[in-house]
Amino acid sequence: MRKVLLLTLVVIATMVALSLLPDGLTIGRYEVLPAHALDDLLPAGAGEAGQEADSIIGLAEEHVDTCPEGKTCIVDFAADRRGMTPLYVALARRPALGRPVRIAVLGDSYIQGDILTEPLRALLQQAYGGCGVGLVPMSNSKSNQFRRSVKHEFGQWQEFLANQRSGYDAARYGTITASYFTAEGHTWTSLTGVTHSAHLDSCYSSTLIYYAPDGGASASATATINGSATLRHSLGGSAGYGAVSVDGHMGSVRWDIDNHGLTFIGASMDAAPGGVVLDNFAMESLTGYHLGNIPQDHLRSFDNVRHYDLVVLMFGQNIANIKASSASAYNSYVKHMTGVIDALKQGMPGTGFLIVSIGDRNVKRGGAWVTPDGIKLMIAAQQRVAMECGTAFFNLYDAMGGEGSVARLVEQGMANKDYTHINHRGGAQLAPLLADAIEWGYDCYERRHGGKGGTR
Amino acid sequence: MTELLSNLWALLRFSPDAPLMISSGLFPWIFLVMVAGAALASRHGVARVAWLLLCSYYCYYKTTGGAMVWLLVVTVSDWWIARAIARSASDGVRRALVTLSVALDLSLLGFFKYVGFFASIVGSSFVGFDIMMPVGISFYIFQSIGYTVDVYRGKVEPTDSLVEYAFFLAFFPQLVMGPIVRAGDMLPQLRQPARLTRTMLGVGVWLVMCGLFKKAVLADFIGANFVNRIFEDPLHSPGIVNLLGVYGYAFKLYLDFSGYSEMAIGLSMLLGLKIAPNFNSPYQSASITEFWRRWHISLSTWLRDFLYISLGGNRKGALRQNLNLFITMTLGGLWHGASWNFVIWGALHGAALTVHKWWMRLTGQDPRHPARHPWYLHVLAVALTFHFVCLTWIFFNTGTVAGFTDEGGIYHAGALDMINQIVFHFAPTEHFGAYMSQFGAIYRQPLAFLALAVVLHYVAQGVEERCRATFAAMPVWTYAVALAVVVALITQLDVALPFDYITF
Repeated sequence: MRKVLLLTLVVIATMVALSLLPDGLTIGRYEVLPAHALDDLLPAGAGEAGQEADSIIGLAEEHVDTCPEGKTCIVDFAADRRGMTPLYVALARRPALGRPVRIAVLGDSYIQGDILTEPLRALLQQAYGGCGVGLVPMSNSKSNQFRRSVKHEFGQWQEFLANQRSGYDAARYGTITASYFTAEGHTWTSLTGVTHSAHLDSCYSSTLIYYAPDGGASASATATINGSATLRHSLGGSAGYGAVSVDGHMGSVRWDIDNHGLTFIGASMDAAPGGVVLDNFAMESLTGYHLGNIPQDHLRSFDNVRHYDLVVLMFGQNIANIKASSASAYNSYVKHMTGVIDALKQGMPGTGFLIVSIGDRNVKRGGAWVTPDGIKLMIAAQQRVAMECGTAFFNLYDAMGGEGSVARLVEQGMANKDYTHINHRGGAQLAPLLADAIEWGYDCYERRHGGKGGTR
Repeated sequence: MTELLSNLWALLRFSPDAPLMISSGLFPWIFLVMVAGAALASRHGVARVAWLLLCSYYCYYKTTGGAMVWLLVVTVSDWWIARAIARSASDGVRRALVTLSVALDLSLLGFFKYVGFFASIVGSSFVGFDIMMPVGISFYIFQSIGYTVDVYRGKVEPTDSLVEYAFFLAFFPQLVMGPIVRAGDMLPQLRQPARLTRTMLGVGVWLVMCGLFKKAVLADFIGANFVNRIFEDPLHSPGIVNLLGVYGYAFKLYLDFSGYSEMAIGLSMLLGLKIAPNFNSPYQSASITEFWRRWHISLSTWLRDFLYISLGGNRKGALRQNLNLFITMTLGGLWHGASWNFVIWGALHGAALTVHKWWMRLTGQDPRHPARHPWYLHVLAVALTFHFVCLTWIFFNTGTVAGFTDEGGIYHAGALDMINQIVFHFAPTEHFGAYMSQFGAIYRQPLAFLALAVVLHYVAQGVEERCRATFAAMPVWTYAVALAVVVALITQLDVALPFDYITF
């Protein structure tokens, strides 16, 4: 019996020792995860850090003119109209815009697989028109894993992803999509609309986007719409991003490509001019920092082929540290991310930016699921970034119910047992919160600008 | 300090969203207390049993809260009824008493598990309150019925000690998810002085470690990163991916459930109690009859002894025997849960067992000693059995037979959707090779874990026994190192899913 006692003690000692490891400890390239044997027991913090977070978040109130009771609205910190304004302007002018209203959502595993963005896209397309899944990477890489919003098939592609430790060369090929693809000779990618959603079964236009490193590389591409081939296009010619588009009512589109040195970004199913297009470029384990490595000329060149009215940034869970105990713990994050967004603003003139805060994340303290102060401080830090860069900010944590809200989603089977990530059902629950906030903001904009209610 | 104390208090109280399991982080601390007390009391038989009972009750309270009162009700009533049966000389009274016990137990089980299901069949929704099902009720009810019936049949001497009987039902490692222990196996052990031999120590640690590895490393990882993703939306993937998902589920369920059983058996052994194995490499079976001798053995033997034999077994002709088999398995399906999926699952197994019985009779073989076939026929039979079992797992895991659209407009695929996908949309429409290489790249890690599980499953039984014996003979410090490594490994994988069988 004494030996059993000793062995049990060894198990407990191992658990405790692993719990005492500092966050972010690495052995070589491997990050050691700490255990949580003592989390239930340790005090949740003195509460001062939570108050500090609250007081920073409270600053947003001064920037909101009207917001109905009980609703979380978008706060626009932009003095230079680079928050929500470009989107609202495009929406107001959409009958005469001559192109779709475009939104890009950049994020991490929280929305990877079109979680949240699929229902968000559907709601916006329902409100303002439009169809299609938007721009999709060339192959079913990790950036597009588990996406239910399109049937995606493809030939051989070599993929380069921003979350890979090696291979991905942002300085040479990177853009905001966080992935690019190469192939030699013939290959293909096909997109077929799915029938479970009203706006995804068919569309009006498809665009293929590529990058030419220099004038020498070239390729040819043929689009097959609903089974019938169209004209053959020659790609390349000059360095930078390029695009070819085909129009027509399409339930499916297949791009056949003969490649000689070009790099490919993605193919799309897009709305007709005036409709809403929402592209999702999410990839697990990204922090947003990778966007700072994109050269300015890449940003501008990409903006020329696919201009966005709004870029939504949904990062942060991979930076947030539940053990952070003061706002200063995120100072370097604020500094780094401010630099990233300033660079994006510079390289994408005319585009508005919206930072969406991380959602709720819970740990067990004293038998109850609570939101650690480190998470609230992260949200405060994200709001600081928005204030410093002059972008719009949406407090997703607040919108989803604040303290302990993800635990309630877990209970309803809408979030994973990591008490962080939502699933598709959770996405369907949260998307209306953001869609409502955008629609409310647009309605306010219209009222301020002479009530062009007729355009809706 | 006050916050520390209040957190400790909260930690030790029942909390519905964190039921205690033997794989929980809290369990080793409780086990430490359990072992320490048992060590102090080891010379006093009753004190040791009483101490372990007290600890088990506390653990069960941490798992299910106030609903543990039903365990106490069953304990007292069946203990009293069994003694009354033994004392009564009249056959009629004895029969009335055993009927009372079974009726009481089944009505409790029926109330908690099946009221809603049967109400939905007759189209009523009278259950106006939320019923909190006591955890492990399916297991301890069967265990208790087994006891009173065995006493009635004269196979087991009833115990006069309420503490002993309470311990038999409540012993925590096996209370929540089995194995379903027989009174005849457990009660005599309680009356002997506690003995923990050197081999028992080695084998106990080996079982706990293997069980933990199966459950917390292999099953959780394969489940979270592969199986759950495919079952969440079967219509999105071609049939071949669905089929791989079903294979994954077959192994995930086995690893999860047998892992738990092994932990329970190992922990019991460390406390000096022996419990028979519950699994024996079930996917090595060459027939469905053999499968049921290797899968959840404590349930299948229980169903045989207390349901199949009670229905008449094979004593009333071949036709009746087959009917009995079919009924037994269908009810066995219903035991897992109140849903048509489990009924269909049980009925499919019942039908397959019946067909196999006919086949054996037709070919003149003795089902207890099947003829040895050439190796290729044996492999074919193993593959066929495995695929049939996989087919039934689809019903077991999908929740509904046909798909449905929920109020949020999201379509939830059912078992038939998945089968349809496997049969009629097996390959991706084009470029099979490219698709599968992408698939392999995305799921590289869980597929590697699955491959490891398959290899471990099909190694010859002799190899596993030799490993166990070698481990048991190693010095105690190596056990400590091995346990620490497994704990560290689990921490690094950082996935923890609830046990599948906790809902049954």
